[in-house]
Amino acid sequence: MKFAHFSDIHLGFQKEEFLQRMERDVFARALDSCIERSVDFILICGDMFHVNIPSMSVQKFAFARLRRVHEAGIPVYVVYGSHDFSPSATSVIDLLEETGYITKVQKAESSEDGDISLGFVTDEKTGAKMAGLHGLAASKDIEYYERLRRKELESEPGFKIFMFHAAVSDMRTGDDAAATAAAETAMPISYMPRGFDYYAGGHMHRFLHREFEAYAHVVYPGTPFAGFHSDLEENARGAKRGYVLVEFDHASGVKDVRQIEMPNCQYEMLPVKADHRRSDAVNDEIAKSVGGMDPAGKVVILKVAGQLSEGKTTDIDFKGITDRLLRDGAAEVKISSNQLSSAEYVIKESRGGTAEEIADSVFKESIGQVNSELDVLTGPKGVELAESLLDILRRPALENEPLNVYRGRIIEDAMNTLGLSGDEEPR
Amino acid sequence: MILDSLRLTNIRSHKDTSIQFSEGITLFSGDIGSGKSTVLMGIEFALFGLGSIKAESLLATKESLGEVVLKFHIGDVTYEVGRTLKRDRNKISQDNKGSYLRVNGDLEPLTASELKARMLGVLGLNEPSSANSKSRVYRYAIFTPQDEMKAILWDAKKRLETIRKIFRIEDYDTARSNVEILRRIIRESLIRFGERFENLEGLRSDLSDAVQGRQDLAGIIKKNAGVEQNLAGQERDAEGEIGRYEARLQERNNLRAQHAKTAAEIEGERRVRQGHEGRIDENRIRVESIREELDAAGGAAAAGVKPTAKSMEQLNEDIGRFTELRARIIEARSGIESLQRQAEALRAKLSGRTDAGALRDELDAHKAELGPAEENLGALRRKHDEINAAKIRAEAEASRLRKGIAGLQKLGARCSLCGHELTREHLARQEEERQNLLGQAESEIEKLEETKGGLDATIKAADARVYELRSAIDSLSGVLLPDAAEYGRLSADTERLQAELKGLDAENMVPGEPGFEAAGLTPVEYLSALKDALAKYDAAERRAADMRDEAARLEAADRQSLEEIAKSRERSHTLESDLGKISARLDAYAGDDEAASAVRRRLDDIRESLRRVRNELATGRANLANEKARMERLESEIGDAERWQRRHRTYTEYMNWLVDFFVPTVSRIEKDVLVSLRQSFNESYRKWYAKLVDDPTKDSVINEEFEPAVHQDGYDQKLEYLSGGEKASVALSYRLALNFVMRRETRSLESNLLILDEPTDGFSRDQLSNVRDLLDGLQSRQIILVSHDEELRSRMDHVFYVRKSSGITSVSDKPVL
Repeated sequence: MKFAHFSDIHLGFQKEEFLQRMERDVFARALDSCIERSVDFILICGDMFHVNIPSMSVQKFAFARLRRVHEAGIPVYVVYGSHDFSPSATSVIDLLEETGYITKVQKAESSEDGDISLGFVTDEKTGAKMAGLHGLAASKDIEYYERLRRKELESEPGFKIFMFHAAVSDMRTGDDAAATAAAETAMPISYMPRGFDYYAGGHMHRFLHREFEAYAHVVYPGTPFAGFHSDLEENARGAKRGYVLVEFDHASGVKDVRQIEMPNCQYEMLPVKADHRRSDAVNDEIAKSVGGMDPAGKVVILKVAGQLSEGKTTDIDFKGITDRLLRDGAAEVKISSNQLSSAEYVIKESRGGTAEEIADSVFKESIGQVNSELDVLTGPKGVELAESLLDILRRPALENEPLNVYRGRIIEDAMNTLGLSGDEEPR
Repeated sequence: MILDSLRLTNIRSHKDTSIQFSEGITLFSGDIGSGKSTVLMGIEFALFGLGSIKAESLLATKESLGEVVLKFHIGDVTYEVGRTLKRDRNKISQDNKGSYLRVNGDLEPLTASELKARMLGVLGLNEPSSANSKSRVYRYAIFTPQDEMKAILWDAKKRLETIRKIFRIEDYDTARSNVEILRRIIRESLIRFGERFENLEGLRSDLSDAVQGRQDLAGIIKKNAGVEQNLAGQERDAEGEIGRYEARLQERNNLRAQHAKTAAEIEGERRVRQGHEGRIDENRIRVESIREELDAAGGAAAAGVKPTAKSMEQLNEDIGRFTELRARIIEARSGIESLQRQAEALRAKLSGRTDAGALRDELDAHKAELGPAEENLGALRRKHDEINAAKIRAEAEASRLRKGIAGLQKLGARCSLCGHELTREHLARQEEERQNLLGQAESEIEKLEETKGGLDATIKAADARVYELRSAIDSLSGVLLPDAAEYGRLSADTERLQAELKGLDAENMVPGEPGFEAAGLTPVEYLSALKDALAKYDAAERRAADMRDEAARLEAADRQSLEEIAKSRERSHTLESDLGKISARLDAYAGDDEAASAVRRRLDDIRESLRRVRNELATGRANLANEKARMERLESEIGDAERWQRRHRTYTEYMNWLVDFFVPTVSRIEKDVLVSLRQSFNESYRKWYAKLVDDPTKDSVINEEFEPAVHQDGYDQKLEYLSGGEKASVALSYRLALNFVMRRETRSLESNLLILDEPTDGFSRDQLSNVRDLLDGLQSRQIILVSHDEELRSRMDHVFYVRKSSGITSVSDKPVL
């Protein structure tokens, strides 16, 4: 007997046409592969959808695919993930359950003292028993685990699977900080009820399989394609994506766990460090790198981070670069610039106040540099003169005032303010 | 600015709407199309007129006049602004007469465009003030219509321009370009100033030359002045001597003049006497001539005999009278002629029958005959009618009998009426009987016809006589009798006039004067001739008198002349004795002329020497003055050049100050202002965004170009891929941040108002529940919100329910069931 284990498909996450197609293509191929392999049932451990009510086109796609699975006689067991669950509104998961294409596994009941007891759902054909808890946004589900009546679950006989959508700290690897971006509030494995044959997880996006004492086969299949932008980066670094196929029987429990890889597309990753560089230099470097790249058919990921020493972040021509890559045949261009800043435009010490107050304080700071024998150009008088002059020079032209009249007026006012009498006879 | 009230009259679907605003958050709630947004358009129209709004979309269709009145206050000052829209044929425009502003109740009548400029000033908005320019700052930061809410996401150019405008960042560009011009002006001045002191050293060397030259000239002048003084003394002595000779010459000339004058007087007396003697001779000849003429005429008879004793006036009167009489005679003669012509014409018309009495007798005879003639004619006609009736009756009887006979001939063996059997004999008897009767009737008709024929001739004759009589009567009474009367009257008038003419002719006679015969003349002609003779006599009389007077006058003049001649002879004797004495005195002055001329030659020599030395002196002094002027000029030029040199130094200092200090510092200020602004903006924006989008993987910031940039777990999100709710969130956050920062940063802005039109389009229920929180965070005293989302009603301070029924909007602060 065998079952397929999916999680974190995040249907509807991708917005760009190519990536959207890839997102659906991978999922469709994975389900087709399950039908082909005649799996007995399929588990989806949360975040099948990116939001609780995805767009109609996403829903149409999902319904069509799950209907094929249903018609192939393969039951699908599901828990909500943190994304496709809503505490207040209906989720598309509920619609799918109504059609009979899927079965929600959580059968929770709260007792008077606040404890939660879970029931089992039994797969008719294989007799496998499933219990599970939905994932909640911001990992609020941890407190569910704290209130769980574990004894009842642990004493249940038979082949048991525990479905969950939560990060488990014991599953973290050294280098997976990015992959578990949402798992900062992970819980220890000990929160889980013991003695299940298989712990079917969701929420962590990388394929992970571990065995612990009393917790045989804790498995995250990871996202089949990409549920976060960081997943695309991992893909670019060569991460294998797909679902997990599990073989078992009642006598010996889990016999085999392996990842079935679903290849997606090709990537080009271009990380750029902007620290202590001018914006034009960064622009040049990107242009050069892009020039030496063959982007045809690939998803290009451009990640620019660091603090520019000079220039604005908007000086970096992301639009031009994107257009050029797309012109050269790139399938899609993803840009990460939120870690990019500019030293010139970061306020080290806030001056605050209005424009006039800022002008006053900058003039006061700079007047010391002036070295003149003229009293009026230095010190507080110099600041006062500079402020009056700026006040005059920044005046815009009046409506319908011809340019020469306007300039004549401004220059006359400015000369008067400076006390420069021009060609009048000196006295 | 806090809104107090708004009144809309005939504005779109608002027929007459009054709204009292309060502070806090006010929601206008109602279905789409109920007229909510019109309230906001009304506010904008009141403040700024038609710049951003089309008049056609504002005035209710079919209405010709619409009005908006908005009241608000800023601090303690209350404002009431009113505007009116007028439809003129198909064109809708603002009525300048209907626009005004009241400040603290004082009316300022302003035209629509003046009002806009005034409002921009009141609110401190940095906007163009011309009437049809579109509002940008207001539309961006205070009120954004629903359809423009999300435009902020797309129109990057307009967005940045507007933000630069709101926060006056573009002013730094202006300042930079103006400072460039200022630098150019100063640079040009420096070049000009430099030219003005470049020859300073040359001027100083010229000055020292001038000082030396002046000293040399002064020595020469001193020497010449001594020579001049000596010569001047000699000149004065010689002049004294000449003066004395000239006095003696004057005395001699006076005596010569007296001598000539006396001789002339003696000659004058002689001429006087000669004149008198000549006139006496002329007068004598004239007097003799007069005497001769008078003697020849024979004294008083010269004028002949006086023709009449009458005066000229009497003669004129007589002539007038006889002229009038002659006119009357002519008039009477012509009257008689005219009357005689008329009488002759009438006489011809009446064929001589002018006797009215005979004509009247004839008329009376005709009238007497007419009555019996008419009666006779009537009797004859009646008789004629009777015979005619009898004839018709007989003819009817004959006709009936003829028909009866014809009927019997056609009848068979049985009577058609009674059915009795008829015998041939019976029928024959019947027919015979009827034939007899018919014969009688026909003879009767014949007899009657005969009688009628005789009668007709008689009637014709009688009728002719009656007509003849009536015609004669009409002619007599209508024509002949009046004409005869008129003829009689004309004859009488003619006789009267002839009698009158006879009297006038007798009167037209005048008695002749004994000495003035004039046969064959009419009185007027005679009198006129007499008048001419009288005038001629009078003229001859006057001429004789004049000549006698003249002769007497001439004789008196001769006597006067003889006296004058005697007196003149006496005066001549005295004058001749004086002349002898003057000649004796003149002899004493001989020899003077030669002595005087020697002195004059000496004086000329002195003067020549003096002229020469004075010329030298004048030249020397002029040169000295020139040198002095040149020195002064050089000193002044050196002073000017030194002053330009000092100004050059000052300008250079200013130039350095501008270039080294001012320009770079202004750039730093601009950058610092932008950074500070963006920081406030960014902080504010992110705060609103985080409240509206509850997704930890997403965040949004404002970049250096003031663009909203959305990131999802680190990656840039294209705005077009955002959901409707997310776009609305970004747009609303941006607006709120802009409004918030603008109110904080721009001190001059007097609007702490925020108006939002359907800001929650696409929001989820969760987001809607955050809206109140969000608006509170703005710390705005007054927020006006328009939304069809009923969800918001329970969360706002004041709710107006807007509803449209039969095309007319009603606004109420209570829900309408």
